[in-house]
Amino acid sequence: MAKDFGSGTYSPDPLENSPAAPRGETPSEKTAASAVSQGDKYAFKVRDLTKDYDGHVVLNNISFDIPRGKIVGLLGPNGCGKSTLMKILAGVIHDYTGNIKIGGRPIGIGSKAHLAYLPDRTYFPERFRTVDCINYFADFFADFDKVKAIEFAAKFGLDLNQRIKTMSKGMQEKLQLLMVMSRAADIYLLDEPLGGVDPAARAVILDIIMSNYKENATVVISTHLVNDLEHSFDHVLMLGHGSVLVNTGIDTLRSTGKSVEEIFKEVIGDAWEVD
Amino acid sequence: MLGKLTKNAFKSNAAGIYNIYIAEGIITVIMLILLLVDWTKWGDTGVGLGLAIKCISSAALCIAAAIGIVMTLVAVFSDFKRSMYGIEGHLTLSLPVRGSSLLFAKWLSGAFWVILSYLVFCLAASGSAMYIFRHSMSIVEGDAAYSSIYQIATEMVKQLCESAGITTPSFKVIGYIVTMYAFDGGVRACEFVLLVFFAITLAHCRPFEKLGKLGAVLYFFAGTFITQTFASLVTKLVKIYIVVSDTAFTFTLSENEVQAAWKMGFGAYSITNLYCTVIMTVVVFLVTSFLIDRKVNAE
Repeated sequence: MAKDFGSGTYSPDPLENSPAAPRGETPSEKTAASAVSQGDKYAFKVRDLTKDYDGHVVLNNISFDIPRGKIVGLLGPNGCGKSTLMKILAGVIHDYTGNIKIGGRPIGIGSKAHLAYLPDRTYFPERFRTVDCINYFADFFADFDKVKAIEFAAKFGLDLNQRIKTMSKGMQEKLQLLMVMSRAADIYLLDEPLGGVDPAARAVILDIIMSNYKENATVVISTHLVNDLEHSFDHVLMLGHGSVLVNTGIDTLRSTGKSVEEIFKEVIGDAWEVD
Repeated sequence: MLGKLTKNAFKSNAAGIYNIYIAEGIITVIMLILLLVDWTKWGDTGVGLGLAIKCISSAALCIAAAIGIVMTLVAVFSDFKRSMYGIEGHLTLSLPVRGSSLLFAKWLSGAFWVILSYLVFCLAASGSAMYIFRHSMSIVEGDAAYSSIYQIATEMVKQLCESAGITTPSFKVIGYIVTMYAFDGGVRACEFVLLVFFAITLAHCRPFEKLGKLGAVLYFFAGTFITQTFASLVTKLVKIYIVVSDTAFTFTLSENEVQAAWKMGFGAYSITNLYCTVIMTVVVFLVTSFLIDRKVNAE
């Protein structure tokens, strides 16, 4: 267990449980917010969420809220349940107990229409060409910007007629990220977008993410590369032991005088000891 | 959305099986070209060689069509598993569509390709038979070969009808009966495809996922057993027939009316089993849709 922060959610500032308005948001913008965000100031409300794999508990009765309009770092050691949590939120896994609201809605068609999910592996069929991926997203996501996607593809040197099976892993990841970031979603769930790519590519990917998400959207990025991303986070959610170890704003964390990476190592280090 | 899902499902299935249809097309073209060759130019040896080549190409077409059925089944079911519950399922299940829409699109496409593969096989088998038959008979009787085939086919259908108690059926009644049997076959093919989809889906729900692929096989047989048992029980309790005459379709529960219809040359067909199959198919569809929406886990 974390020595400094205790076993529960790290929220030294009581106001953290009543998150402030999203970045740059005015009352009028709040009114104009999209359907998934209306009526709820939280992007996610998770209550008593438990998930296990064959008896091995990954998420143990966790509860947390994520304010909307934030860039959230979802941090934790391997196997702590980051990907599982994302899959649950994306509607890919149904086998869990607990109550989840995304923008005030239960997980379903309504939440999926406003949520852009990037898994940690390539989820397009191998036979797809770049143009097929673009057409597929255009078919099913009303918020997908086809022109933007085509411009992205050209900008990043992706041949529209190249098949996925002939692309390198890096190209596949880039293509998938471009598809997701071409959506004007209210929530982006990005599972290890920097995993498995070299440092130069990381900078490109990070730039794609940071310069293309919809204003006022919530961006959840799971990663173990804390150092590369910590300057981008507004909010941090750390998982370990199947529990929420830290759930707080970045300012609160920095007020401790430590970097996110230092706190990560401190908190997660304890989690690893137990795991 | 359903239209787009269906379009994608058809494309996805087609991608796995188009090779076999190309192969069948090439063999058919070769067979047609061989028809143009005058083998008699080379005497008895040529005729024998021509017959041998035609037999081999006909057999190749039949084998290709049979492989086509197997490949279609494999392609349809593996595509369903991969696109719904494999890594591609992370995309499919995160689409803003209902599970029933996903299932219906996959089902429609899968059933279409499976039925098509059966039809192609039947066409290839009968076509090959006629092809060889024509060759051998054309030497002896020329165009009379086709009228012989027609006579044989008519005689076969008449014998089938008589064995079922139907005497002197008209061509219209025979047409209706053949249509009913074709419809029955189509429904059962759809049920088969859906039962496999159900089994694959159940194998991705807790606690049924523990058995993996073996589980899917077991759930398929269990599902088949349950649906068949239900149909058998209901058929024992209630017998609904449809009587097909030249002018009308009539439903009846009376065995006497059926006997009378047969003697008059009408078709009488028990539809209880078919009716139960349709009901169970609807139930399986609803259960599978529920599982997709609420219970499944992508890998």
